[in-house]
This record gives sequence, structure tokens and C-alpha cells, in this order.
Amino acid sequence: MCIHLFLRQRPSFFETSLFVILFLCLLTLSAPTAAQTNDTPNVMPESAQINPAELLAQMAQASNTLNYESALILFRPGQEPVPYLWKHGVVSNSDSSTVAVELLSELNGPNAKIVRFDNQVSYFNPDMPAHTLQQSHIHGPFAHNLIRDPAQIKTAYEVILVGKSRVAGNDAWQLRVVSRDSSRYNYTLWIDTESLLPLKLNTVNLKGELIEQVQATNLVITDSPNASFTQLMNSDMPDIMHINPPKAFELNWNISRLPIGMVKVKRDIHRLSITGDVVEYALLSDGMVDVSVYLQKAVVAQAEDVLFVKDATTFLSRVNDGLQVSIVGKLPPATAQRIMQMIESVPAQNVSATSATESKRDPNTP
Amino acid sequence: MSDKLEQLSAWVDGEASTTQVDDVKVDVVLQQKWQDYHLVGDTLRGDEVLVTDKSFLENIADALDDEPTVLAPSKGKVIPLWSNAVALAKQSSQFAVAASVAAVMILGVQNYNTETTQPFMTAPTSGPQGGLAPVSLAQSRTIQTPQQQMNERQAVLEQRKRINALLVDHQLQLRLKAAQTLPTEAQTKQVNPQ
Repeated sequence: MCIHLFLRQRPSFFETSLFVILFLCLLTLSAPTAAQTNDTPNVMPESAQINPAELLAQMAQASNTLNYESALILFRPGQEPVPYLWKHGVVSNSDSSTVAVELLSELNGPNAKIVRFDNQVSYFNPDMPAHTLQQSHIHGPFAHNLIRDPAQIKTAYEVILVGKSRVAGNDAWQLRVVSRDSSRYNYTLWIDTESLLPLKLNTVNLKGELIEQVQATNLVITDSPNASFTQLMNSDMPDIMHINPPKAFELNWNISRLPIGMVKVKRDIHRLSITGDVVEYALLSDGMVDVSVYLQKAVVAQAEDVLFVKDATTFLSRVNDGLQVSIVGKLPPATAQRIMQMIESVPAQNVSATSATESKRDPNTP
Repeated sequence: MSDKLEQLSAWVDGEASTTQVDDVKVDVVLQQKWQDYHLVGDTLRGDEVLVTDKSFLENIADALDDEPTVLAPSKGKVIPLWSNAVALAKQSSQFAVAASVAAVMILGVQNYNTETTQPFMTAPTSGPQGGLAPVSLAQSRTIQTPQQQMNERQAVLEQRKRINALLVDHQLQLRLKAAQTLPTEAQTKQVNPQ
């Protein structure tokens, strides 16, 4: 046929590859344009009127109030994708008050489930007895403050509306969430234009390489909450476990400078559950990511730093003067390194000098 | 017509179809489609493709012209908070060290996970004797005593355990943080986390 004629005169490799590249470019370009020209001929003026911060607030409103069900896939490069089922509903009680119910279950492997009734989160894991904690949210694949309370992240991140694209079969707004001082990972978020629910979240490092991706494969919005939620209401949830927070301590070290928007959430002394080692602890947060800083007595002299990234979480540990300092969190390694350099000892006012050094070297249990 | 095209598509894909060669020979539309389908298929499969239809390329050029100009959002002010905190060279050299340590650690672990066999035991007992020594024998130059191996292995396991303890505690702290931000309510039951 006619194509054979053209193929018979073999073009040079360079020419052909040029054509292939051109063709592929245009394949990717032509698909969205075709979709856009049908219903929204000119996208930019429309999106220019939309305030990204408002859009985020509307998304939070939607995620907190709508009845929806979504299948999510959590992907990290080099690892097996992890599928989740995520359901949310607002159930009316008999006294006409409403309560938000949320379910997050892993679809592969042992059937791990997390159920939230308003402020009570129940954990059903095969490796530990079911228990309930008094908590405001579930740690799901989507960063919870981003989709539930975006006001928490605005000091650390800038939100930019990029445009529109198509995700999981729906038209979606595309937003970039960018660290204001480039010291944390950046995010790209896709929000369904109709329901304003999140559809996709990419976490990229400062070079723009993908390190984590959450992608919805379907999204179903219903008028009434899922039937399984009303059944769950009747069944018994495990008892609430109250945890005595460790007493806050005046620690004689401090982190002198923190990245923009990052604040100290708490500081205490506690024991690690696995090894029983006593650690002095500080939790930092910028609303999006939480970072743990540990100080403990070094067991072995560690000549070099230990640094690795596992599940997008950076672990950095250094032994200095018999003290091991470790930093854990979803941070670029460079930022973890800098936070570590900002740790300095401060003279404790209410402790005498000798006991201050003593407690630093050998922290006692609370 | 659409059914005809569907059949043609199936035929191009090598599936069961009612389309015959003779059908295509007499139908100009089918010929055109036949070419398009192959072109699309070749492109998708990453084969060499030669686009010869000039109107096709012109369509693309037109489509590009019609693309709305995307005005890139103004770049936000980047605040170099950390820039003067640490000399860059110093920091990057430390990183090289840190990264290599991590690599060594992983290699070390992999080494311990494999079966440790004595190199001399695995040397072939039969076969050509003399001549060049098997390359694997080179490993025997740095043989450690079993006790040393045990100690080193123990140290690595201990370190992994300590690192794991911190990672697990970090996850636990994230859960507890959510609890902490709530207003304290009447505590009915006291359970110690440990």
C-alpha cells in the first residue's frame, strides 16, 4: 500500500527521529487542546480570575463536607505502588447533629484500616490490638493540612495556579505549592474542577524529580453518605486510649534558626518504644511536613554521618562528643543538614551548670 | 461507516475482522484510514515513523498557532534564608561523604544477607588443574575470622535496629501530634504508651 512506498526509501536515522519527536510532541499537545476547545475555548482568562488561596480553601470545604469515595494509588519511584480506598461522609445523628466519618484502608496485603469519627480515630492493624485515639485527622496519602486546613501552610509555602489539565477522567485545576525559601520539597496538586476534591498530588525535590505521587483513579461523589458508614456507627468501636503526654522539659539545647514557616511544636524527653533508649526530642512542623529531632547518648562512635532517604523520608544522624543527633522527616537532605548545624546548646537558667551538662550527656527519664 | 472503520481497526491490529484486502482496495476512505491507523500504531510502539502527509503537519502547525499563550506566573520572591548560614563548598563536601557512607552501609547489609561461604570450599575440586587461578580466589586474601565477622555483623544489625527505632518513633510522634492539638477532654482511662 501507499505507506510501503515511503518506507521503502529509508530516511536517515536523524531525520526519522526528528519526525518521531515532533509527532510525539504533537500527540501530547493536541489531546488537551482538542478537549479544551470543545467546552472552554479560552482557559487563561477564566483561571486568571481565580485566587489560588481561595481555591484551596474551597477544596478544604469540599473535602470536609462532601460524601465521596476515591481509590488512591501511592507511588514512590523504585517501589511497588500502594493502593488505598478513601471514603468520607457526613452522617446525621438522631439528634440532627452531623458527624464526619472517614475511612482509609489499604487494598493490598493485610487489611489495615483507619476509621475516623469526628475526633476519634480507630486503628485496625493486624499486628496490634485495635485501638482508638482522640485525634483530629488521619495521616493519609494526601497531606492532611493541605486538603483540610490550608491556612496552616501559607507561611511556609506559596500557592500558584498553573492552569487546567485532565486527571482521573476529570478536568482539574493544577496548583503548585512551592516552599518560600526553597528549603523543602515542592508539590503539585490537581483539584477536580466540579467537586473541588483533590485528585493528584506530586511531591518533587528541588531538582524537580518526582519522589512521591498520590493519584486518584476514580472519584465518586454521592448525595448521602456511604451505607457502610451507618453500619459502622452501630458497631462498637474500640475504647479510646488516652495517652499521657510526656511532660515538657526545659532542654538545654536549641535550634537557633529554622526554615521559613517552620515552628517548634513540642519538646520532651521520652523513651523509644523499640530499644528503650531515652531521647531528648523536638518536633518541628511547617503544617505540611513534620520533622523530628532526636538527641541521645551515642552507643558507638560513628565516624561518619549516616544519611539515607527511605519512603521519601530523610534520615540524618551524626555523632559528636558522645552525643548522637538524628533528624527524621520529609525534607531535602540539605535542609536536614542545615537544621543539624543550627543545633546549639543553651545555658539552662533554672539548672545548675554541672547538672546541665550531666543531663545533656545522660538524660534521665521524666 | 463507523462499523466499517472498527472492523478495519481490528484488521490492522491483527484481530478477527470481516474486512478483506479487496474492500480496502476499492475504498479510498478505508485506504486513508488504513494508513492513519498504522501510523498511530507505529508511533505508539515507538517504531520509526515517517510522516509524509503535509496537510497533517500543517494541521499541527495551525493547532500550535491557536494555542493560547501561557503567561507564566510571576516568580515569587525566593528568600535565601539559609544561603549565608553555611559555606556551600563545605556543605557539599560533607554531603559526598554522607552519601558514600549510606552507600557503604547498604552494600554492607547486602553482603550480610547473602550466604557466607568459604571461598576455598567453593573452588572446583575437579576440572582443569593448574593454569590461571579462578578469579574468585582473590577474595580469600582478606578473610576474616568467624568471630570478627560475627562482631561486624552484630554491629550492623545493632545500628539498623537503632535507626529503625528512630524511624518508628517518628511515625508514632506524628500520630501523637494529631492528638496533642485537640482540646483536652475528660480522661476516662489512663494508658501509658509504653
